[in-house]
Amino acid sequence: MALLRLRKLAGAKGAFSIWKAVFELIVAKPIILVPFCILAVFETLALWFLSCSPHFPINYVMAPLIKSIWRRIYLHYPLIYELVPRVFYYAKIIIGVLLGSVTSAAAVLIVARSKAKEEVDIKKVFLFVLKRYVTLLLLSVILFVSVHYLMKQPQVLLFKYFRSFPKFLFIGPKFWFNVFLPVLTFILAIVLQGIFVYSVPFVIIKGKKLLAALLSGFVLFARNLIKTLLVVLVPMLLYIPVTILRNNAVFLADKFAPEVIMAILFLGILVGTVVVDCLVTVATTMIFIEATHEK
Amino acid sequence: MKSRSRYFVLALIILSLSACESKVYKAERQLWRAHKLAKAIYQNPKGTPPFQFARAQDAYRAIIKKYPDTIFAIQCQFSIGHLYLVRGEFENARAEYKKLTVDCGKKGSRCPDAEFAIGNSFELEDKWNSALVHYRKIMKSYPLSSKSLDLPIYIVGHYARAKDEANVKLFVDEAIAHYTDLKSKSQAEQGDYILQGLIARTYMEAGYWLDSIDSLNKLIRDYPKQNVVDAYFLKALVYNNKLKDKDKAKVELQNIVTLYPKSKLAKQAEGFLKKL
Repeated sequence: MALLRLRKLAGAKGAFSIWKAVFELIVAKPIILVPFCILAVFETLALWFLSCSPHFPINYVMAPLIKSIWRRIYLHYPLIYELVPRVFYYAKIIIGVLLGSVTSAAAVLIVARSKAKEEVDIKKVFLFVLKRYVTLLLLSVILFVSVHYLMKQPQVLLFKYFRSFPKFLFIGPKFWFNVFLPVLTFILAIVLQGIFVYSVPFVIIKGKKLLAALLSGFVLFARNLIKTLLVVLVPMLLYIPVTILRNNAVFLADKFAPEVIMAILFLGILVGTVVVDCLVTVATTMIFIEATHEK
Repeated sequence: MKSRSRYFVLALIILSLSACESKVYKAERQLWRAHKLAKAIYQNPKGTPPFQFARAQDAYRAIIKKYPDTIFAIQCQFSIGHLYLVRGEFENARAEYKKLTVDCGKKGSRCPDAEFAIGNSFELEDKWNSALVHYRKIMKSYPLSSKSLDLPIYIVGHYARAKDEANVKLFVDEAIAHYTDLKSKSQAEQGDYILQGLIARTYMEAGYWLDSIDSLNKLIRDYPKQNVVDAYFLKALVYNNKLKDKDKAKVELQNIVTLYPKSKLAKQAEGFLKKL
């Protein structure tokens, strides 16, 4: 029992020492950042495109869409900035599924080749990854659908629970919805990311097919549970200030200017896509290589 | 290399075109900034330093100068008047509102609203009689404007809140006569229906509940093709809340559920029936 606990502790310790190796690798091979920067550029272009919805010539495409789905008023200042975050959320999902799958896989391959001290040619990396595009795309779809559906469940369950047992609201609904729910959602995000994070390395490095990669990924996650969760948690903590800013976006927009919302969304791209995703991908790939004895 | 630079230039052109803001958008942004400056004054009108007041005014005047003959210029002119109003500078407020009463025949002019604002400034200055003169002027000069149609009810409401029964009766009679006169000149059933609805609202504003029920009954009887569900609902509210007759209220609600089951008010009526 004590040995088991020690092993677990060792796993947890590994989760902190791995960051030294991660930063050393990124400094030695800054090419690792390229896929994430490409993704960030596309997300930024999407953000720019959406913010220009009221303007010529983008309004020819966006104005009819916005009028039919939302309302004409969202084509005016400052309400356009109220709509942009909502539409950008869906745009990010689409970009993430179509392009993010490729860029994550490319980053995984760059890490694997760097660790194996092989030559890293970004063109060849992307060509290699594109050969497995269908599998990666399906993997992304499964990931986004599961995450999107599961992330909503805490809120749904909380509402259902309190409708059936209103007595348990004695702590006050503010605590449950402003504190408990965000914390629970954050923990769920970390766990879900941990569950799916090894599937891409299995597809790209081990050449496994979709279902086999998913299953192997789950097994590897279960074997390196604490290490993986810690490795996913630490970078995600960097996203908390961005989340706080996003939750106070309306207040900040009113205090300064509505354009602040664009700055917050752009900061979210920089922190989320370039920093957090890069750190999580590199760290988990290194754990993968270590666990599967890839050198 | 040449094709790469061509794509780069194309991307730059597209990006720069995407920043082609329209005149309207620029005006909206400027207006938002001006409203932001004014907000501080509305929150603390007496305590705002003069330079802040001047800044807000200048912001509005800049929009009026840059975008004359637009809805933005009209909004800004009203806003300047409101700024003076909240600081208690009634004469200055009226002077600003008067600028909006020039060219009343022009399309998009807001003369009835401007005249109402002038009348309202007298009201806030506790000069009700002067306000009444302006309100009567609106009713005479712009009889079919939305402001003018609401004014008789507004005037009745003023005397009802002051519990001046004599003037309430006087102005109810004046309002009913005004609406009836407009009805006689109206050539559309829709117009008659609206005016009948205003008659019912006048009685409700005055607290003449039985008369309001009668006028709502007339609305339902004479204009069955129009949207009379609201009239049934209003009757139910009057019976329940004012006349304390739950049985009659239930009858009206049941009429909605039976005769108009697909209307937006049917669900509300069902809920209300359960409570009763």
